[in-house]
Amino acid sequence: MASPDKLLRVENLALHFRTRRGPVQAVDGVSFELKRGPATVVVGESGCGKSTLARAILRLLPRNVDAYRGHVWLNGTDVMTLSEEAFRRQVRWVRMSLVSQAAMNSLNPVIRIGDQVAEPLRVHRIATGKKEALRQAGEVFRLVGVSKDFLGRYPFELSGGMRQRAVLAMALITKPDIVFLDEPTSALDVLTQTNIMNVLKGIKHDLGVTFILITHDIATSSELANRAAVMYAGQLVELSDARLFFREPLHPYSQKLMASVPTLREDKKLEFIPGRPPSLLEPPTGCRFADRCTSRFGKCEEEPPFRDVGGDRWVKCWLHA
Amino acid sequence: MTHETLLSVRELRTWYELRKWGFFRAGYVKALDGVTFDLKRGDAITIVGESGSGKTTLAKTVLGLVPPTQGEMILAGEHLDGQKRGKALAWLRGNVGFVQQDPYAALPPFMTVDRILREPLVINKVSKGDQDARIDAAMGEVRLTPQSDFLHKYPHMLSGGQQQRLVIARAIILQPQLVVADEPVSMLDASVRVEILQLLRRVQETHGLGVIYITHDLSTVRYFSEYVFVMYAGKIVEKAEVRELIHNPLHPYSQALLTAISDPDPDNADTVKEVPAGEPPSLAHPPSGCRFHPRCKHHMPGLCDREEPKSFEPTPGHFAECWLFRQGGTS
Repeated sequence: MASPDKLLRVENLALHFRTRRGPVQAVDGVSFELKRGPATVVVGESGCGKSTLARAILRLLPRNVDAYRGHVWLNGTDVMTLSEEAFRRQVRWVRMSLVSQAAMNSLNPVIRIGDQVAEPLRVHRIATGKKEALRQAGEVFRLVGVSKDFLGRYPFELSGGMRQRAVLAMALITKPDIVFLDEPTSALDVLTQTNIMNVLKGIKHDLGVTFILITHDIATSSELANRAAVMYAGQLVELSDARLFFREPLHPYSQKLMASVPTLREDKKLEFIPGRPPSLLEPPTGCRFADRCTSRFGKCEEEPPFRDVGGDRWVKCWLHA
Repeated sequence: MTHETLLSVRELRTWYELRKWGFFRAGYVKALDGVTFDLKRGDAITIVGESGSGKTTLAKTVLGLVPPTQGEMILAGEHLDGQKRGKALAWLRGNVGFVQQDPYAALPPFMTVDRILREPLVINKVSKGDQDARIDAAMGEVRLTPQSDFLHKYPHMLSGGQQQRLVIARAIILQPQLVVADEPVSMLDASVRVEILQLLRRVQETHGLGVIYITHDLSTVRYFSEYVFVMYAGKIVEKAEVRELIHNPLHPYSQALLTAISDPDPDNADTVKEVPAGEPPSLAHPPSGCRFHPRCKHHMPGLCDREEPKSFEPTPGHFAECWLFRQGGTS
């Protein structure tokens, strides 16, 4: 049994997909711990496995799964041992929910927004009766900054920002412990994006929901981050306090990634990372970043451990082992 | 570098017609409504705006992909409007290059790199011997080297960055005078983005090209161009040098846009940013007067909601279409 403040503990989680050319190791050997409260952002480039990680934890698996193993402890229970039905009843959308990428376009066009947002309550029998469910939907609408009058409208009557808020309301309505946000604002305009970030900050503060924000946009990720995690080629390479991370990332990949982020207010020499990430069909056996790393040395032939380097900072690199 | 005017746009309007019922016209979407600017040879300008601000329509109009409804467009001394549009267009296509947003969608999947780059040369009747030399040079310039490794490949065999470099090579292969880049890096990963922007900048400098860079992301602007135009609801609301705009934005909309953009800073997590609520207006029925007035905190009733602001120039070279600066005198 983990200590009570450890909300989520993931150990050696792996999710591999079967393809015609062999298994793709989309997520491979990811371990980390989360406390209740602080929001974590997971950043990485496309194809690094950040969305797959969320899906692996929520057990939202496609059909072509080749391997799915590891442990996910939620409040001290290993939810990986639950049956699919028990997981659906007790965990998914009850304890952990998801705002998936481009979720605002996944609303059903022929069902009123209110009914869609209230649906989780009725499926999980949390609310008794439609009226009560709609009343609760109205409450979450207020939280995300949408007027209650919108409950009876259809998705096409709402703007993109409003639909995104409605989808967020749907993820919050069951009062889950953890909400995964997969690129929640990337399809929106800059000002709308900032408005939604403000809403998320407010909810984090008022409701104490633990957010896990998955994004490729490092600048925007800093709007919510208390802790920052970096993924590369299916693995977690760095996890640390956001303050330390944004000032001085430790892993060579994180450093290069930060150096490539353009800044508005200060001049800096931008860099880019030559080469491309390795294929996840047959990833290198050693450090997966070694090929593109400027500080590589002999030891990088072996896989580095993901270890605590002190001060709540975890790095997967031989330079810090 | 000669500093003559390459492209001159006056009061350009591009309206899309809404559905018609018989003789009844439902109205127009005024995607571009009175845009005026000059681009000098060898300069790069950036146009920033949110979706629906008309920035892509501006690109399409300059490229000749949609006919302007009204207004004047002069590229290198040639008038591009009204009569003889067909002939002018053929000339225009050879002189304006286009870098699209999504490289994968912009490249025909069934053509090899060689075919893709040769096509414009064949159409424009470049001699056989010249074709190979030009393809070789363009690929060298965008660093798709060694050329022989890439020539026989299809777009899907290239990485996102390489595809975008191929799109740039195709845009410059006819040696245009102007290149329009519509969100050239928004589909790419952060680490590749910088590479492409630097490449575009280098190409621009070596050939003395005029470049119109269209983006929604203000943070990349300072690494790319000298001038920024901010668009809102079909109009350019502010024009200034990049540094001037970043440090001293005048129009309330530009100010909001700058507030909204984050730099990677951990302090962001603790601050709530003050940005106007609401969304850009419908372009079929834009608000009267200043189009930003319903969201503006400096809104002056009786003026902003009645009269369209003129272009004022409070400091030299810095233009804003906002009544707040009316003492500065009109330009």
